[in-house]
Amino acid sequence: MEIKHRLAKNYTMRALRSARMGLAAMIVATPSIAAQISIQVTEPGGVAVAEAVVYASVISGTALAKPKREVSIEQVNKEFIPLISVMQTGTSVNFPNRDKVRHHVYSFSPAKTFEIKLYSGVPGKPIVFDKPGEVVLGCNIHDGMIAYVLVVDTPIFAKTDKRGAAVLDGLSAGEYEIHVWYPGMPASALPAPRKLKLSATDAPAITFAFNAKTQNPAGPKPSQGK
Amino acid sequence: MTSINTRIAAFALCATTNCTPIFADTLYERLGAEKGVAEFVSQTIDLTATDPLTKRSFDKVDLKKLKLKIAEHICALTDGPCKYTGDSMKMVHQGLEISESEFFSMVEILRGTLNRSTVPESAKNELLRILAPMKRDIVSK
Repeated sequence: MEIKHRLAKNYTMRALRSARMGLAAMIVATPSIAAQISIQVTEPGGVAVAEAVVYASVISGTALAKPKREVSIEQVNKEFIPLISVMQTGTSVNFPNRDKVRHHVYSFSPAKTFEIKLYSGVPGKPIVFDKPGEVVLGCNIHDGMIAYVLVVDTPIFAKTDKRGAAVLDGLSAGEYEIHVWYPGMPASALPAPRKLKLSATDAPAITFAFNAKTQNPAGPKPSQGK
Repeated sequence: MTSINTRIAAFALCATTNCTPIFADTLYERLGAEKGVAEFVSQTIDLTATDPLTKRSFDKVDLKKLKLKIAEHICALTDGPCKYTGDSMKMVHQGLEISESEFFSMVEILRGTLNRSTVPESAKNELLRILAPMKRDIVSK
């Protein structure tokens, strides 16, 4: 209920913001000079893959600088929310514990090894994800809790929605390499990165088709049996 | 202190009768040492994590790790060769809002498990006496 409520609030905020931005656009009438890439991610059978990570690394041209945001990975009802995150190298991550019980968040992943010992509330300091790569998060107390973070060396990234669609926008003219990633998907089943040359107003659409079905990434951790 | 008194009593008894002195045995050894403790801890946790009266607090908890830590804790508290590396009882139970009746339900499960085991009556009672004061750090409701 709490999550639903928060989502609803988010949508309202977003709607308000985009309405305001729409109004601003009409007044200023800024011409659109940025390219964008529409991406569809599917698995065998043409089924849409939600929550897949897509990102573009710049081969030539200038990446539009985006401010590094501070992001949160919450613990709610003994689950990490969101389950899958993508962020730029150098992003600070907060781990607010919304549960009454304590959690003990850790990662053994080489890209970021850390632990926040038994805590309630919001830990004092965020964790800076300072190297690119995959990070798997767990809780030392609750073995079912798991979350995935992909840290990328680019500010251009997105996650697919329920229909398996994502848009990388705000791109300047240049050459890009587009990647797709999903937790637990073996490298052999991941489609190869796609190179694209874009002029300032291009808006191509591409599809990434996985060679294998995705497994529920929230499933039990393979390394820890009962 | 209790275990020292027991040892003196056992020694005195053995000095007057023909028996094998047992005063070298720690409570840990009388509880069955590593294997014995691991067994009754495992059974107690399995039952507590499934009993309708107590399972609430064990939802999604890594039981395998929990059992190892409890066995280690008991080993350290009963003069066994371990050092407890876990967190304080107060710390780990905070936020669980455990009631007195939940606490005593778990004590009953432990008592029942020990009764079904080969742990001698005296060792069982000593262990329960050692664990009893933890109530004030566990119960918060």
